[in-house]
Amino acid sequence: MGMAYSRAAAGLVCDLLDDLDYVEYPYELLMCNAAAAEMACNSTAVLHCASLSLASGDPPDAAVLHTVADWADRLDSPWVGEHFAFVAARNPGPWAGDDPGREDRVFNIGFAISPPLNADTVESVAEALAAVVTVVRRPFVIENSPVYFPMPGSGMGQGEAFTALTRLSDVGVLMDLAHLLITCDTMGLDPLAELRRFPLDRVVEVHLSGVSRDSGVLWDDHASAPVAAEYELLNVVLHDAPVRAITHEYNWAPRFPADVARREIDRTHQILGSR
Amino acid sequence: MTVETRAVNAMIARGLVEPSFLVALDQDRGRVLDDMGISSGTRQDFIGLDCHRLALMATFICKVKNNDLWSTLPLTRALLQEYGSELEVFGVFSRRSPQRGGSLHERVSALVECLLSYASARRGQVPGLEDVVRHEWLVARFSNGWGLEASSLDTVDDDPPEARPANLWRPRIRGTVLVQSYEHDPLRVQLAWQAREWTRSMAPPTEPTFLCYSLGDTPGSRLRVFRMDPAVALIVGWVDGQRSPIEIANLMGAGTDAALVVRVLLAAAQEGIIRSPSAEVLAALQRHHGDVGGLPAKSSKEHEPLFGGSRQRGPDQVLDLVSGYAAGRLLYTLQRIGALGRFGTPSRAASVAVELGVDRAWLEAVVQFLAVTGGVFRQLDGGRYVVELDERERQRLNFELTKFVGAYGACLDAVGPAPDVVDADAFADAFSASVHSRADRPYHGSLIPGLLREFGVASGLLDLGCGTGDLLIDLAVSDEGFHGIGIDENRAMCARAVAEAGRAAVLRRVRIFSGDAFDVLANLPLDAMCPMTAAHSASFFNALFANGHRRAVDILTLLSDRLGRRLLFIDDYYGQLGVDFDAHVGLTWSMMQDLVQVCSGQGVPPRERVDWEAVYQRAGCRLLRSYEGTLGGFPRFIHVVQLAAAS
Repeated sequence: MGMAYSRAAAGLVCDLLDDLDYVEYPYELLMCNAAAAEMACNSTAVLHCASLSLASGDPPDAAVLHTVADWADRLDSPWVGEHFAFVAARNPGPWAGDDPGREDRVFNIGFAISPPLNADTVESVAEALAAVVTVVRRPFVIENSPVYFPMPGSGMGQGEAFTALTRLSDVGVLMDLAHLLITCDTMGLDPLAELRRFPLDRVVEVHLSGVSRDSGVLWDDHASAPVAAEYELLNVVLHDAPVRAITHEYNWAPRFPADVARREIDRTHQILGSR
Repeated sequence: MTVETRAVNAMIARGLVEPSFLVALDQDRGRVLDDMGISSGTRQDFIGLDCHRLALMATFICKVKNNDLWSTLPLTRALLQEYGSELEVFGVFSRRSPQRGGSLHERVSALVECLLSYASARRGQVPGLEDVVRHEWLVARFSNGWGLEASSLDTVDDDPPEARPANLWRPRIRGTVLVQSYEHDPLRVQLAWQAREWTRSMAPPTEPTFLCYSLGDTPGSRLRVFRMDPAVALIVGWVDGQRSPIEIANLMGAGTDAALVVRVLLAAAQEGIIRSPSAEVLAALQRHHGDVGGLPAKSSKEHEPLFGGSRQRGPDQVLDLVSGYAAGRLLYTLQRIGALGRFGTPSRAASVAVELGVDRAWLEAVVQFLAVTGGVFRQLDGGRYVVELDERERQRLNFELTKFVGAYGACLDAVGPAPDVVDADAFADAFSASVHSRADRPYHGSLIPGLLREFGVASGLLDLGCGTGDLLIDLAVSDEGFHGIGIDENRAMCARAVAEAGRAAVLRRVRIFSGDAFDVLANLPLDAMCPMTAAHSASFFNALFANGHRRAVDILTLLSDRLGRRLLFIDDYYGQLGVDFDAHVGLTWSMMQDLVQVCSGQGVPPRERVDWEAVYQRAGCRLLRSYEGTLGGFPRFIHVVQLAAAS
């Protein structure tokens, strides 16, 4: 049982350290926050990334790769997590509104976006992963990103894309159940049916966090507790998958109540205990 | 990866980071797709792309990237989440947020500015939002030292004790005690949230709450928040290390009891909110004023008035009544002929009589009588008399005598309401007599100018019942861009307003009209003279309740027709005399006012806020905010009302 770390969640994680087997640290935070780095080096840690932009079509940045490898080694992370997503994309050509000479720009979103789900993307991600593991010599687990709008150019569902990826690459799956609910809400899918389309036998880690609806859209919300549907899905995942880690993510809340977090951890323990 | 998939990624990424591109994609989709070389297969997908969702996602990303800002505003976030408005706020914020890499202070400042603007534009959508934001922002600024100038923080405490004037009170902080007024009590919100008892029922308007904030003497000491009676908060708010208790009493307005101000200051010093001048002065004040007790509790309406006098009952009540009546009339007479001012220095009645050309025996008898019966005249050695009042007390005496005896005296003699015998000139005299300099003006230190600023009223103010034009003239003098229109049915008042506007060289920007408010309002081309943004009335509506609420509703309806949906600031008082009169309340100045209102045919204004609110509602208007407190013995209020739409 683990918990995601952030600046805002530092106090919460410290309060609950005795209840946790590990803490999951964002690579991006370790790079700039000495307190996080010091704590990560002195506790059981799992490294999680959102910077490799595996689905952008470009090879991962070499400098980023080497620092990820360095942190994975320093923390002795059992695996490294990353998203099936792109964070930045290069402009493919000029647009009428562009200033001359700026056609080759890179649009950096700074946020993991689920890419067009098709064979082309899957192959590209598999190639990127092959390049990544030559530097970062750790197992990788790939997380399903939330889909907030039907992505143009998609010919397959997320579960199908992950299944295809695991055929091409020796990676594990990080199943974020809140993201799955969001994707299904956006695409009008049945969450249980969609879950079963994933290669559950490759799921190594599960993420639990909240969701919230605003302006008619279901959004990821690491500032609230998981909803009941996530626990129902967790039961299914635990039945079919060799899950080694369950990470609670409450790292967007300035002051997430420790007793609520403890209650959710206990609830997860009860589900595990009942199996 | 194929060029096509790369192009999709790039277009989505660009749409998320470049709003102009997203707009182009939404409005001229075919051309953008042509430019980007999107082929027929994916093109169909793009035709169906929901750009609004993409825009929402850009907003969501902005929200996630700025999650750290909520650490300073946690209750604000809770409120927004409760009402499902967090994303909408970030939709605004994403268009104006500072560059990444800005300091936390800069980023939180930008968010607060955005939140206040959002709250102002969507009043009522998230009840209490503005107050909770203001509170949390204030706490954050105190806690982090943001926006508090180092010089202002240091100067007060760095003064060596011997350099401090002995009679000055000082904030017990590095800076000035900050006083804030809230319609929604942010501490109540905070407690409910912490106890996990938050519900939307916490948000409806509560009584306006005054909170004071201070920091301890030493760096790093904790912020303290005090809940106070509004009047106490106002007194403490004036303490800046530069003012004496008398000056503070003067700033509070005519009728404020200086001794009470001292008692409040002593109690505030005991509570550690402010610092008393010196141990010697403190001890002397305590000896003089006795037990200071704690700070007065909240809700001044439940207690004796904080300001104003109380009736002293003599052994023979009948004699008191008769002599009091005589003393009042005599004092007014002496005031009219200038004798009261003449006795400001010790003088013989005979000398003053010669000087003023009045009967010597009459003046000697009158002055002797007044010295025996009242506390105004005091007899000295050698047959001399003196009026022992300081300037402020003398001004107040002049005002109350001229108003109650001069203007309304004939009404009190009449049977039944007698509006026709009100002495309009005396009424104008009353309001002019107590004003000698701009700093003494009623609106110097009033909440009204600040409130107008807060609600964005920079010019174009219609002042109903403008009296001698004090508010409009003050605003015009302090801002060269200000224009205003004043209406008052008292021609003498209007004449003085015009004269004063001329003296202040603002006559072209302050237009005064005399006449019945209904007639003037119905016929005046308001917006043609200067674009109106709001209306104000001080002690105007209280005259409209002689026969129920109809006239008040009528004028609100007329105002709405002329100034639809604009704001009206009503500065008035809650009446006390009436069918629910509570004899145990005791005599107050507001009761005196009620009496002359009845006798002069103006009626008693509603007693409670809910009653006023009912009047507003009958006219289709809406009470947005209410400020209440006791001043000069009156339970006064300022209501911010949104007029109904023009019919």
